[in-house]
Amino acid sequence: MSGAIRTEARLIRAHGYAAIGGLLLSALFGLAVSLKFHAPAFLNGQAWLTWGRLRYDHTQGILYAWLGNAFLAFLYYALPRLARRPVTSARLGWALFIVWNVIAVLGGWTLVLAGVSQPLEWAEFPLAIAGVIECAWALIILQFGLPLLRRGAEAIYVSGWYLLGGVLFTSLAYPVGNLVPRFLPGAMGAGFSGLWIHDAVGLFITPFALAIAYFVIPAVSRRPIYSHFYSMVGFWLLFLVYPLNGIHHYLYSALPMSSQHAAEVASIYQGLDVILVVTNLLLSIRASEAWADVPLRFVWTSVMLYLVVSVQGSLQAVMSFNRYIHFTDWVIGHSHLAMIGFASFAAMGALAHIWQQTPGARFHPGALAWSYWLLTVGLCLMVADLTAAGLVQAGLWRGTLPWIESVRVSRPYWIFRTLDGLVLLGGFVAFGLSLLRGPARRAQIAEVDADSHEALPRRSWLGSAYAATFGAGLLFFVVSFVALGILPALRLRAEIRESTPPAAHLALSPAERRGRAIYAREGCAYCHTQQVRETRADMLRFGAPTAAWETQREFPQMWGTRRVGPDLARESTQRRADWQLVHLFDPRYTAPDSVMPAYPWMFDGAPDRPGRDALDLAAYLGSLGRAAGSGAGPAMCVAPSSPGMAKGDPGQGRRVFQHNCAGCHGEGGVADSPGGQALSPPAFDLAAAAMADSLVWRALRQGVPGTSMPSWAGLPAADLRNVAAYTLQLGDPGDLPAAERRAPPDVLLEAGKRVYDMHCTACHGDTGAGDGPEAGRHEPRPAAFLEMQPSYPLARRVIHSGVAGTAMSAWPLLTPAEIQAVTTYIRSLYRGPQRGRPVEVRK
Amino acid sequence: MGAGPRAASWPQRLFVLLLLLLGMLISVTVIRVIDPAAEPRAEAGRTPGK
Repeated sequence: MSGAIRTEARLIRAHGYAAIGGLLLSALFGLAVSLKFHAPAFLNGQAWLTWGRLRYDHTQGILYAWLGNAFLAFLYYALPRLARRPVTSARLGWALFIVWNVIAVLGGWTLVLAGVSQPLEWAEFPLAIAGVIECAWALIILQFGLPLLRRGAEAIYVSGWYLLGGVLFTSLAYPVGNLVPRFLPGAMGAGFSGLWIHDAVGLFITPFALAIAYFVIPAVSRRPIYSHFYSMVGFWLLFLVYPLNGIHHYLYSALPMSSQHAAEVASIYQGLDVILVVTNLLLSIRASEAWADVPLRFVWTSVMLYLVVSVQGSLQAVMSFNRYIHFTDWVIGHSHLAMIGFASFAAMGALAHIWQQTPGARFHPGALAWSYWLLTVGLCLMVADLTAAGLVQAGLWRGTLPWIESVRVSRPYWIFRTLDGLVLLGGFVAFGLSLLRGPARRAQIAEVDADSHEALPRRSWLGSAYAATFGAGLLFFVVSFVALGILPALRLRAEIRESTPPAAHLALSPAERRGRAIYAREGCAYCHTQQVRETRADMLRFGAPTAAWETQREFPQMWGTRRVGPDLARESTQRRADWQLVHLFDPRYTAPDSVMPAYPWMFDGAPDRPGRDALDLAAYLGSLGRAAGSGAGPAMCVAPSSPGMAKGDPGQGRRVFQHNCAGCHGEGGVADSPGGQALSPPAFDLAAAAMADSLVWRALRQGVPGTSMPSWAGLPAADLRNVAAYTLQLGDPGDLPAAERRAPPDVLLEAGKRVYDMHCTACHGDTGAGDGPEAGRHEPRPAAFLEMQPSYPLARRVIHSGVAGTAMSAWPLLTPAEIQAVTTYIRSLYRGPQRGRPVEVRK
Repeated sequence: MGAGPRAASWPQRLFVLLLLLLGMLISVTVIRVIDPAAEPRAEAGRTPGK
């Protein structure tokens, strides 16, 4: 070839503008997601603006709208210089631009907001869009891969190798992440999901970012890379070990331990490979050069943070450390460090570098410098904040405190993240301005001389571009596909066949299947995992570890990689459908400090008027862990056996009550909250009855079976004592005003006993101990009047109308006098202490 | 582009070799010593597929 080679400047500008737009929109999605963590009412009530859908669009937008476009812009500039050939076709370039931006990005975003998506991490765009993106990969290979491969194989620079390997590998791995988990369930699919989760970052983002570093550093410094040998070893090692990392997202899971160990080793080698790559890059650059040229400064910072995030990643993949910080905000800090600090800084450096050479493109160096500092400061603060939050969460999860405690203490960190997100957004805006403002370059883009590449000695076929491409792309893909997917799947299949209990109830009903689709659509798996890991902390809190056989109907698996709310793998042993419905209508009704999004559009205006979606979702939640049986639930019960409630401080107890109990029982304990009233049975009116210490203590420690009252045994003993003392103080059974008395007390008592013996003993027992012959058939158990003395109004209401959700039916034929009489009698059975009105609460 | 010297010096080769050996050392220590001490139950084989 000879003569000048055309660079497609219009396509560079088009993808550059699309990248800026994608970055700003994706950052806004992220900011909204962050805000909802501490202000869950923000943008609430609209299905298309719910947390899960915005979260999907945030990460997919960063991947495709921002980084994808930035990398494509870079490719249009770099390819002619790396290949000494033009891209295949400008027309093909515009077709790719439209397919990528209009169909894949805008189409994907819109469909996700409309509720059409798939719950696969880094593959949330629906399958139709995934097909479009796969076609786009084919176009990318045509547009950029073919010219590179046509160049003399020996002359391809390391950036070209990274691009070739990355493009080919990603085009193969992408369908694996999107398709395979739909056909291989649960644990078997998780291995393939892990492969794509890691490859999206490791073999799409990383090769492009490293291609940028290897391109921009020598271009600015005008010196060669320190060591070609290090470049090549780094390249091959990266493509060998990166794909084998995937299963480190599922450590201590039901996947074969040998696969987990392999991922651990691969992760360690990945960190060492990055040390080699970064050593090579840093030895190729002088700090003064990086400081003088802002685009190079972005790239240099990217290289430094690549080292930090990779060593951090290797550490996180060590199982003994992973058991501590996995699922926490530590990992979110890590992913932001990777996607902003490494990938975005590289992409920004590349865009700014090529923008200065592109005719018609404006460039404002001052805005770029502002962008650098805003992003650097904002990122450091965000990572520090999330790392600290992760450590706090990890510490709490290893204890026995209720889960909501970790949500409560995370709130300041989440607020800080939002504020810090504004700084980052400012940095992104400044970056956009740096490419949109300032004087436009008028000169033509520097032409590439097709003959100018250095003559290199011919090498063996092993060193050819084809070998590199097919080795790094195809062969290593097959190795990872077999090692991460096929081998574990074969072992799991055999294990599932041997270990599935014969009568295991695995099949989902049609309603449960619909509920599963809703769970997937709303992104529930991004805050609630569905895997109890084989760690002490998990087993103590959530029950038996998730076994592979339990997951054999999960198409696709929704194990999750983050816990904001608790794990739901054993949910069927934890919560009742009525609680789930109230919680879905407004999570604050049942858990005042919850940050979960509300789903009011699934209801007809009230929690006790659920629509079909809500019923289906509750049905699905009730199926989780059902196959493993009730024995698989948690056995956490660590409260002291001796109540010692006399020592409790009611004032302190009120604080505990407001945080944990007021959602259902109301702020004053009179069960007047909408959430408590919508439960079935409704929350108990604690002020309308005197209760014995033993009853309160038992309810707090064990919950009340058959109701939504859970066990609070995980609370610290002091909190339990205090809240018990406060609850006891609330109970005020009152007395019967003389004016309302229908007969002398002894007459009422005698008449009441007759009514009681005739109608009540079958359930409540002869002595009022709640142990009648029918009692064992009912859950919740009939009231024990030895421990509870209802007020006259409460008893009148219950006897006349019954209690929904219990065996206590209405007795409308009893006259008011009979009701008063039987109330007098059952009140006389009470053997607990009498309590006064609520104590004056210390503020 | 500036690919850099194509021939590797022996200190460069040694550095790569040391990194590979270091990876082996860390891996063996982690898998044989540190992980089993952290969660002995999982490592003892209760995890399916072990």
